[in-house]
Amino acid sequence: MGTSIKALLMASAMAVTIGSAHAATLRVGLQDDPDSLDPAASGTYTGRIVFAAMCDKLVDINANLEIVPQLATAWTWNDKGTDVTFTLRSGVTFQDGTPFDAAAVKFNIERMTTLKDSKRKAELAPIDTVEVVDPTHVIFHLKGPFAPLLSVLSDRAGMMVSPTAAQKGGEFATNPVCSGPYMLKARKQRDSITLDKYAGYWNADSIGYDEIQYLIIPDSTVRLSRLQAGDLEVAERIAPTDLATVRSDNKLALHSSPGLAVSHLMINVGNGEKAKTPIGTDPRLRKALELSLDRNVINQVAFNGEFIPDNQMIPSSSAFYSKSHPIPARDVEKAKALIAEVGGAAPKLEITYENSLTDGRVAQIIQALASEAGFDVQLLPLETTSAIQRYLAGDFQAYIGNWSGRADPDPTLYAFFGSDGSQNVNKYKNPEMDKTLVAARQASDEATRRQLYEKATDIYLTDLPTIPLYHPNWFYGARADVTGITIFPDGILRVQGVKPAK
Amino acid sequence: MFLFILRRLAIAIPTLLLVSILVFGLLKLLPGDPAIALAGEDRDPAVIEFLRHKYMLDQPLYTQYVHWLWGILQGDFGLSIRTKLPIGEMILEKLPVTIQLSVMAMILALVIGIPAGVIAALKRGTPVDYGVSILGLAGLSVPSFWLGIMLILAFAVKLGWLPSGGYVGLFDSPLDNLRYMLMPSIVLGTAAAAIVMRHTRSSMLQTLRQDYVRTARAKGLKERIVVIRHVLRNGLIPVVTVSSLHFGELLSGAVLTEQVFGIPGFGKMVVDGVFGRDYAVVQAVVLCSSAMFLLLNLFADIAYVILSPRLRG
Repeated sequence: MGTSIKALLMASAMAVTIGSAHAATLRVGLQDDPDSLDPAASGTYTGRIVFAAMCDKLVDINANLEIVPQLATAWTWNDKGTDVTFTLRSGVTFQDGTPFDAAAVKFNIERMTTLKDSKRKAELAPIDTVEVVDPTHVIFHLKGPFAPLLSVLSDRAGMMVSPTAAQKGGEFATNPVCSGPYMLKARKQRDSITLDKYAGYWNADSIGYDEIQYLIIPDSTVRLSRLQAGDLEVAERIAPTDLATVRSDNKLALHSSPGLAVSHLMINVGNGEKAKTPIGTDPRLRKALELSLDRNVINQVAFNGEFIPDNQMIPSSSAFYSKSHPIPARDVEKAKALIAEVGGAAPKLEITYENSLTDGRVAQIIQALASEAGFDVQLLPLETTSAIQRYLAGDFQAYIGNWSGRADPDPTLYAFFGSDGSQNVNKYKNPEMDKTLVAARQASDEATRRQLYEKATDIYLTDLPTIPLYHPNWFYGARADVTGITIFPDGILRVQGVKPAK
Repeated sequence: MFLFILRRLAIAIPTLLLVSILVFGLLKLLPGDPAIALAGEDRDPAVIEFLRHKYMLDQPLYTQYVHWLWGILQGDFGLSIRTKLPIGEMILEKLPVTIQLSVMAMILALVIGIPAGVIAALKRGTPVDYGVSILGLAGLSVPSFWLGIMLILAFAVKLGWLPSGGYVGLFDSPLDNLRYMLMPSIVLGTAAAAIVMRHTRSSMLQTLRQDYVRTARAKGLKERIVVIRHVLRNGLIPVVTVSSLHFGELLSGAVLTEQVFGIPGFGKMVVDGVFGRDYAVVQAVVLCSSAMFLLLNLFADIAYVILSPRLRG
């Protein structure tokens, strides 16, 4: 008897050990701490990585940037392109048990457009009203045709939160409730965000872990060493200089994707006193500046050749990338000739940038390359918040901008080149450009839109209010025994389907 | 003694008030609007305006200060504008971590630094003295960030003995907690040990030349007793000063070490606070650190009195 009890105890102890080994946690090293965990109020890129596990969206994108179903299973546009009817997935519940239906969609869109500190207002501005047809059908009535709408709904603006939780009062961000595969368990400021799996998830088969822990580890070397030590399963944004280490370690796997983001040298062409530089007033000098640069050198020296040099704001992964505008080769002689044609002393330019290692390197390379053509470039590195304040005020001659990009070209091109665009801080204005961008927004078929964006690319590459430099690639390092990781061009780690190897 | 402590505590209150005004004023001198830091990539002007209003940034400075101070007096440190978490809770969560790390580093520093300093002083001019001094110089000059990464590579990645970073609460699992805190304490302790060693050595050398030491030797006391009872006891006073100052520094957060080992302490909190223009967080942390600094100074003064009876009075 005594022996059998002992055996039983041992067996149960073993079962507990085995059980806990299977109670798997996915530990993900993040570069920054997200801000508010309310999709309406969030403004950080890293926040989107956490939301991807917590909050499902009406639609998602795939690796080719095409719109695919998530909470909405189908959608149809009316002929004028002013109404879109969504068919909603049935049997979906929020993490507090509240059912997801058309009324919840209406509630969410109205919340995002009326909440005082909502950062989604501009994105959702084209929506006039939301009409509930029945529990699984909802119509968005737009103020006018707006083709990029679905792409907008594939990001935070399309994330649905529980109306019950949102109406309860208190800070929603500290207790967010969505309908994604994992729900918030605990958050320690600047340290970690822990999510528990949501057993009632509509696609429960895609859940591979009982728990996800996002650990905030700002330094990429430290993230990598923790991944190597087996204390992380996944680490985001591996530095280009560390890729060789990851590739040569057979316990690790590298997951990458070309990104949507773009790094560009914005020239102040119309905002205040700082625009009155030779380069700000004469497009020929901007062309000369572009010709003095070698984007491949920037990529090789600053990023070990791991990024994608480019002269366009939209990356080549997009269907709207213009193939007829290749990167111009470096031509110092032609640059010098253009400077001579304009005449006057060596054109001066002060480049302001946020003082990071990468932007610092890029700025120095630009300075060196441009000086060979006869430009006099000064550098002004500033701490991030101060730099952004100057950027918004147009208080710069040139600025190294880093834009995270969107699946659709409209939010990038309209924001930077439309006269009332939200990022048009250098006050670039070209009526032809405005006309083209508005037409592209309203066109409903892709072929027409493609033609219009082709034209827009032609215009901005002639006027050069900004000189695009490169698109960063996304690099995730992971333990080799984590399966199912696919990184899309938005760089967001989607946890559906990510599982430990058996 | 009791009166002495009371008097010192009474002085602490205006000092803290002064510190709070200073920090408040200096933070406002920083260029860059918190509302902009918060507004995200799209930076909608309406949102920025709303945030300014919500966090009283559109009010005059003194109104903001009085509002903040009134909250503190009621035990309310306010909300972090970035994460919307209560700052009081954040501090309660991080303070024990920082205190534990500092105490462990300081113990390490004293245990290594004082004997090393004593030995170097007694063996002055010999290879032992040079050896200890060179090690001390190395301890001071090695960047903590580099030492941290090296330790991680050796003990976590190669040998796998210790976790590469992270934190477990002392009361959740004491053994694991020690495993997590060992490498960071070594990194922080190394620099502190070097400082303690150098001060112990020079102070010992000075004391060794004093008349009363010669008298004690002339009385025929054993060298061991001379060193422990007369030299060390008097020689330690400057070491107490240096150690308490250094301990205070550790308590205000060791940014790089916390960064490398992912320890949720004060250092990271204050740096992120400054970059995100999260004024209330920075003010609260600085205020707490200053209060601890003042307390430490008080302890150091008490320690002087215990070590040297001449200071009693």
